[in-house]
Amino acid sequence: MKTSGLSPADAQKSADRIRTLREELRDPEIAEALALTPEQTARFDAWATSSLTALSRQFDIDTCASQKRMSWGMRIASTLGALAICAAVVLFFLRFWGYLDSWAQAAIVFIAPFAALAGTEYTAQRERARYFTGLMALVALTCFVLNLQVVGEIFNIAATENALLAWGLFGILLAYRYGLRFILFIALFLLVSYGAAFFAARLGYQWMDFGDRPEIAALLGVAVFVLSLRLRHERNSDFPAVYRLVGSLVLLLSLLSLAEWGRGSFLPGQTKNIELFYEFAGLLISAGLISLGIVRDWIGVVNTGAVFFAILLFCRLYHWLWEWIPKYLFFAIIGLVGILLVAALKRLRVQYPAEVAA
Amino acid sequence: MKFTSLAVAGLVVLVANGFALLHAARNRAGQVDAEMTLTQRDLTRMPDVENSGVTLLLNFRDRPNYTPYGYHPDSEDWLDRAKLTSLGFYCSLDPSNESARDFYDRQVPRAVFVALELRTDGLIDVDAATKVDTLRSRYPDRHSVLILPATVRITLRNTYPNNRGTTRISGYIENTPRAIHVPRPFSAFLPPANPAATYRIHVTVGSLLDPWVTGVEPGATGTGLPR
Repeated sequence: MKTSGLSPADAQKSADRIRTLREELRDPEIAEALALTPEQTARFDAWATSSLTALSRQFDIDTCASQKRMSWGMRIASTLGALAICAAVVLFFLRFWGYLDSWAQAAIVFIAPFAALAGTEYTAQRERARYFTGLMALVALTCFVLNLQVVGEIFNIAATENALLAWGLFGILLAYRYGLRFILFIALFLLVSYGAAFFAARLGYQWMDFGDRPEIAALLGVAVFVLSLRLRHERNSDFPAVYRLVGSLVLLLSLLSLAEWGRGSFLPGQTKNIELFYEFAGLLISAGLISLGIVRDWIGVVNTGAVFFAILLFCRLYHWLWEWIPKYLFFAIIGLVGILLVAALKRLRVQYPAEVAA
Repeated sequence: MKFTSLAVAGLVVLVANGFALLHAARNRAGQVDAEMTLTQRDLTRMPDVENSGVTLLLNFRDRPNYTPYGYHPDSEDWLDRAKLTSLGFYCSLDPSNESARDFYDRQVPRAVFVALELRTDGLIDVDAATKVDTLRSRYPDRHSVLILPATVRITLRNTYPNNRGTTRISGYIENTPRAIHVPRPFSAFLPPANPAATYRIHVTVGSLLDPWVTGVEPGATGTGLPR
């Protein structure tokens, strides 16, 4: 099997396919239908074993179900560990920085991101699975955040949105260099925040109030989503899913915010009408995302769309019914709508394989 | 080529720090905008056992017209219709119009500069303008008037009593930078966070309106106003 040019995500997908195929071929019914000779079965087994060994050697992937379950545990543990270490780094510095002169404070926080970067590179060269590399990269990003925060505090510099740009760029560079999805997720949020803050500041807002104009963030969410279709990710084939997740989350959060607080809209007209417009727009867009996700097999988009569809529907029903009907009836209606939603999604799920087969 | 992205990441750190230090240098090298002596009443030390750094919080009073029952119609509210118009807000719609609340609350806030005057009863906001020079020419005393960046939002307020009086156009000030870091050796002279502690802090504000501490007098009392 050719393994050159594969990304770790592609390698994992190949390994999953081989493993599933091998398990299926062991099923007596399938074996009977295919009527493979013992030689053919042995040849396939030998090929599957050598392919999985080659993939495992090059990418440190999971070749069986129990390994995969353990990998998830390790990913969760390393992310939680990384967050805890970041908190420890920040709190340790804050606990002792008051005893140092300003030049020493500035020097320490300036050196820290470089030291963490060197640590990330060193770790990446010694492991293939990227658990410790991801941990070190998050520490490096935290050190850079601490660096600008402390320098700003030492010189009492009024905070600007430009720091978000620097942190976002730094995060993007780390994510692409080491193939880290969690860092990409954080970096994209930082860059979207920078974009929204930049435009809000040009409109006269204090940059930190960029949440006051959610339409800017909504447009940036669409841009990030579209980027997932335009950018080619041959080395990091699992990155487009992160772009789609961040794009759809930002878009739907902005629509939800406008549906509940229409005063932040640029649209002319009465606030109530604007809120109603965004409530229905949010419902339509989240339904559209569910459908797009099903057609393109984008699980993250389906789940995000479904969660926001339910929240927006709940909000609409709340505005319509909360004041008018008894509370037990309100929750009974919510429950009924939930059941209807599940039934509708189940129907879609049944229809989809039929369409694929056709 | 192998280490290009790593080098660029390092360059991002360098450039960001370079900009911050250049900004600080420009602020301190230019003409000083204000030199003031403030007291524990104006700059409060916040207790934080987990943070050994010393940061003081700038306290100033909003216009002296707010009561728990609404805005008193007879009080001094300099952030009125005329001032808000001069800051760039649209004030053409009568506040009693039924769509006035929507019209005023949806207006974009304005980035301005606010003047804080040191009086015997503390720092109080007295004026705002879109340009620092305009404000400084109105308040030339650099030892009793501090100018800081801020944003102003326009809104409608109901007047005293009990918010049932007439509605009028007003505004409010927000986003004024309030934290001032006290570096060593000055931080060592500052008493721990304690309501009874008294001190005076000498603060200089640079050409880019970033303040810094130039002296601390522990145990000193008084208003901080020049004699």
